[in-house]
Amino acid sequence: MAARPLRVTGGARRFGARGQQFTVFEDLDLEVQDGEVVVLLGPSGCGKSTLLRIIAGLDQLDEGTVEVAPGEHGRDVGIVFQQPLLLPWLNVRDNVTLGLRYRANRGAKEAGLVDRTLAEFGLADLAEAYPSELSGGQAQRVSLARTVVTRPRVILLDEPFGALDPLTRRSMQQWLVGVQQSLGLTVVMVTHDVEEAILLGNRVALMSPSPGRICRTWSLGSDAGEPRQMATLREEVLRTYSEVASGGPLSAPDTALASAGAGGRGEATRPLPGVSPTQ
Amino acid sequence: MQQARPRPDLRARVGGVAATVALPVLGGVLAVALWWAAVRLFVEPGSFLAAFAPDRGARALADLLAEGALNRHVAASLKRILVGLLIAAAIGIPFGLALGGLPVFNRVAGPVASFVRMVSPLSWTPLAIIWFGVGDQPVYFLIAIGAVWPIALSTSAGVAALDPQWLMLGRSLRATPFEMMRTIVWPGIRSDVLTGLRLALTTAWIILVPAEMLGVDSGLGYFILDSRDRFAYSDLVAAIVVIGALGFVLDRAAHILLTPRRRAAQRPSAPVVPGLAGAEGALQRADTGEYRI
Repeated sequence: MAARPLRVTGGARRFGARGQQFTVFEDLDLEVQDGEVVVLLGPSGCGKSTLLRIIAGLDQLDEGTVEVAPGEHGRDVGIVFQQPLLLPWLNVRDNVTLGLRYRANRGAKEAGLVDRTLAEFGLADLAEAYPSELSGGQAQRVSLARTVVTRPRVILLDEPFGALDPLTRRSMQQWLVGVQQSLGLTVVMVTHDVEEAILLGNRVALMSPSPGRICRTWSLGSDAGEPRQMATLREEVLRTYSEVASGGPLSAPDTALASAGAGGRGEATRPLPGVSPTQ
Repeated sequence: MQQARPRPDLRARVGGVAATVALPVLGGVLAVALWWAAVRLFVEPGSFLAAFAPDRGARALADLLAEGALNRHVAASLKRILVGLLIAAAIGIPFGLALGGLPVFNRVAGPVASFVRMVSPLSWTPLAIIWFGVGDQPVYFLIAIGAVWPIALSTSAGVAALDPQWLMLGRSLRATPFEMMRTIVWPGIRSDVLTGLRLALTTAWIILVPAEMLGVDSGLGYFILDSRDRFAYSDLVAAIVVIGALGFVLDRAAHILLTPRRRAAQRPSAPVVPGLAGAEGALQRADTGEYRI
């Protein structure tokens, strides 16, 4: 099995009629490896959600290619949206089972799978509850379980905690770290929250808006958990993020993109303690 | 002592029984009394109109029920209602799906539907007889053409109110169009379709009696004309009572049978007003130019 289940090469997406075209993003390359959490970080309008929808097969690239390798159960990618989108007439168990009722996901079916997933997601006691009885955090856990139970190779999260209050969001983030590690999930996540990106990501890719490009990526090595290094990293990401969000040029010359003109494929070249620039 | 006070839930239950049983019965008794008084006050004792008095009607009804003379007509009427409603549903549900789900179809067919709907179903009677001859078929046609609109409009409103993100969810889970229909669209609009069926039943029952006054030799509508021709005015009164009572029972039964136990929550639903009120006020042009309830 290939170690790279997802690869986007030279991706571009444009909206609008010819002449008045608006480029959402272009020259976009992205590779994801098994078991990795890649966070696409960027301000609104940088096209990160559009990219995720394209990877999910809900939209298409105008240029470039998306290659996704199916997992051992046949499913390539599954997406979780910002809204839980639970069907109100189904209880938690039936909502989680929804995808398994479809022919395309038949390969993922297995005796006891739904019960196991409900337990893993802390939903066993809520199995018979209806969506109207759930809190925002619980509903989003059901939504995530519904995607995970179809066992896609890559799970796409589109600002999954964006609609939650800050406290719930915090606990959901920590919960997600645990679930991702225990299940060994491969995740591509979109957010505009720097803290969330650093907490969850093995790799953080910062996207700049109009047109969207990945302008820098950080790899968070295993030793990046050390508080002082985390603080340095957070500062650097925040500074770069605000430069990108305000539309100004990236300031520090040694971290400026070596190949900004060549399509934003450049990566951070300044090594940080515990943070290594990626290829 | 605290126990001496009646428990509030008990009082509420007594009040509930009064409201659900006693008051409606009182209304019925008052209506019969008014009816009786009107005949007594305004009708000369020897006149043929005296046969319309409630006591004479009740006696006639008892006789008819004892003889079983109405059974054949009730059965014929119920069968026509059922067939007419099935035809209306078979046409109305797909039509409503298209009306609510396809904006272009909505623009093309919406105004025409709105136009045809406002034509009283009985206006089609001569045409129905020319097309289908005499017998059950024109009655089916008249019931169907009246009952199709509440079903189509409620279905259409249900489709229009479906959260489009649910369809995106279905696509993201790789549902085929048929699977999407079965697991997302149909459950999402079911309560609206059932509401439409309830409204359609009421409409159909109202159309049934005049429709049966033409070219058939059974049914409650036929029985009314037949009673008139036999000068059996008390039988006519009995038939009217039976029509009203059956309609009442059907409406209540539909309410119980066709109301889903768990309503699709968190979104506005089609009107549940029994009778025509919902259907009549239904089709109106929204700002978008789309027709919906």
